[in-house]
Amino acid sequence: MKLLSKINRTYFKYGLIIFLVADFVIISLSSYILKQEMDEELRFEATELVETFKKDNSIHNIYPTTVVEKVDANYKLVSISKDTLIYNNNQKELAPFREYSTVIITNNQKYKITTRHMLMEFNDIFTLFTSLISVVLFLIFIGFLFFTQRLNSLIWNGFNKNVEQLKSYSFDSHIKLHLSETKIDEFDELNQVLINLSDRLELDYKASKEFSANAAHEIQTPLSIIRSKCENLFSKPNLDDETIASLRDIYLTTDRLSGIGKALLLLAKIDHGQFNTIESISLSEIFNSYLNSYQEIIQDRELIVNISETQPCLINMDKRLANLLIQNIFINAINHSSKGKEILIKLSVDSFTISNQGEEAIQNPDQIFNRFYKEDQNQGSTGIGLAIVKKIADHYNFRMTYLFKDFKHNFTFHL
Amino acid sequence: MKNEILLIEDDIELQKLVSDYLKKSGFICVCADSIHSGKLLFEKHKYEIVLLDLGLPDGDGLTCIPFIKSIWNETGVIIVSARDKLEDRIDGLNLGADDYLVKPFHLSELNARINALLRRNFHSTSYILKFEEITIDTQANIVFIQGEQVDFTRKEFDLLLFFIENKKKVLTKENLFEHVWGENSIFMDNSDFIYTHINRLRKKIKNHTGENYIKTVYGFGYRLEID
Repeated sequence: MKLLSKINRTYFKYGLIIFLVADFVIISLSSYILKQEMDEELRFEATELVETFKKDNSIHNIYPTTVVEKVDANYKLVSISKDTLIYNNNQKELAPFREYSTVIITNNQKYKITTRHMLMEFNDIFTLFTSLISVVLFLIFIGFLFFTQRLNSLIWNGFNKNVEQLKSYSFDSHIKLHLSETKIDEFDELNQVLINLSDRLELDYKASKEFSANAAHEIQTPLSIIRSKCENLFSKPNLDDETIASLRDIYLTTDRLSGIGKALLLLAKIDHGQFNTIESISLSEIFNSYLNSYQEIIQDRELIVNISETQPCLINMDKRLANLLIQNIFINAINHSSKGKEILIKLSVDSFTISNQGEEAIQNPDQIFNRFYKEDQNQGSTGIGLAIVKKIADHYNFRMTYLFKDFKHNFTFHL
Repeated sequence: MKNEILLIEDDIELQKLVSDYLKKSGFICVCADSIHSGKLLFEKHKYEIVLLDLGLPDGDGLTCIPFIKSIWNETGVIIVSARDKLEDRIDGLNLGADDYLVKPFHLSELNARINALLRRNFHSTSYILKFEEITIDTQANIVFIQGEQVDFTRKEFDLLLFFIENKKKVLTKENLFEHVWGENSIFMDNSDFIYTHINRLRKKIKNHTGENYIKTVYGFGYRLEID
């Protein structure tokens, strides 16, 4: 919920409660004050009446507002004010009255004097006040709405602009985070905090990027030395088998170490979005170009490679990554095909499948794309290739599925 | 006349290794360990080839390419760097570098790249290579065996040239693979692919000469040599 609607809604909710309370309080208070005023008036009238009565001893009763009646000597009454209902002949209904009664003694005769005033009906008071208060509150609310709308453009404009800035901000764009001044202390403070935060994060990000790159690069020079020294030894005559085996292991392990370093760096770079030159790529073109470059191997192993395309499979991605992806899955299929078997590549608009024939399903299909996992422990396979495939697929949100059917490993990539 | 090579590399161990190798391969090799000393050396003397590391103590090696090229444009600059070519290669080649070799590299590969560059930039360098009855014309990319032209595929040609340039040296299958397929091979599990190409090459040579010059060196790889 937007802050302003939240404020408005809260205002409305509490406004309603306050309205009810205020209504009740105002009505009770005003009726109390009215009665007080009226009682005083009635008392005054009664005193006037008594004065007149004492003077000329005549009774001028006007029912029901002024009533003087004789009462017994033992009639007991202290002055009292109270509400009462009196039947009104004209309107044929009971009407509320306020009355004041007192007793006086003149010429040994007790008289009860009652003065009354008609009261406004409660309903009337309630309706009057409630509608008055409602109107006022409603006007306030309307005013508030206009006010907040005006406020919105005034206060939130700068804030919203900055939010857009933040949304489009990325560490990789090499553009520093710029937030415009809002001239509102709270927002400007928030901006400052965000700018400081992004500066610090940018530094950290750069440092970690440099660190991984440096770490991967720095090991390559020593690896170069080990490898070259090994190669020099290869040409030495009269080496015994054990030495040959050891040298070979050192050589291959060096290669592997170098490969792992580079692959990790590549994976990190993909993570950091350093391969983001997006262009429209035809996957069948790439498949065909690799088919061409692996021609001799395919011929030699008597493999049949069949590329079919129901609809053109075009995809927006980085060309280098597309090449790496296709190359790796293609080579994987070739490597895991025995002589004379068939490799099928099916391309459609939103997916592509590569399948090669095999004897049994892969035991841990979800693991083969893990970093450096090897299904069979054969030498020379590092498992790096498929880890790269997975990374690239993840980077572009391709969903990979594996299916073993009719003695075929089917790897499908849903684009 | 021996070709002269300037090696700018700050790792002394690697410097020694490479210069020893180049001297054995028939070059004159002079070493520098920083951009500054490299520039001083180049100002005094013209080298046909400069091998340039990028991460040098006094800056990025890329910065001295324009300097070298401004003094002598024919100089062949080969960048030798641990940085992957996917990012730096374009930069380096834009600045005038002629080739790019990624660490860790094979010395035999370095040798092949230097020779290719010399043939390209200096017409004094012979573009005809010979090994026994095999003659390679590197300009026209044609192979003659006993005077007769024999067809080789691109990859077979590359392999044969590589063998002849590194004759009598052991070449591992990883080494051969990287030469034929490029450095990205490190990300792929396909070193076995090279068997195919070696066998095809052997067969062709044997068909025309009756000899198997490409010997298997047990445990290591292959070597081009005469019995």
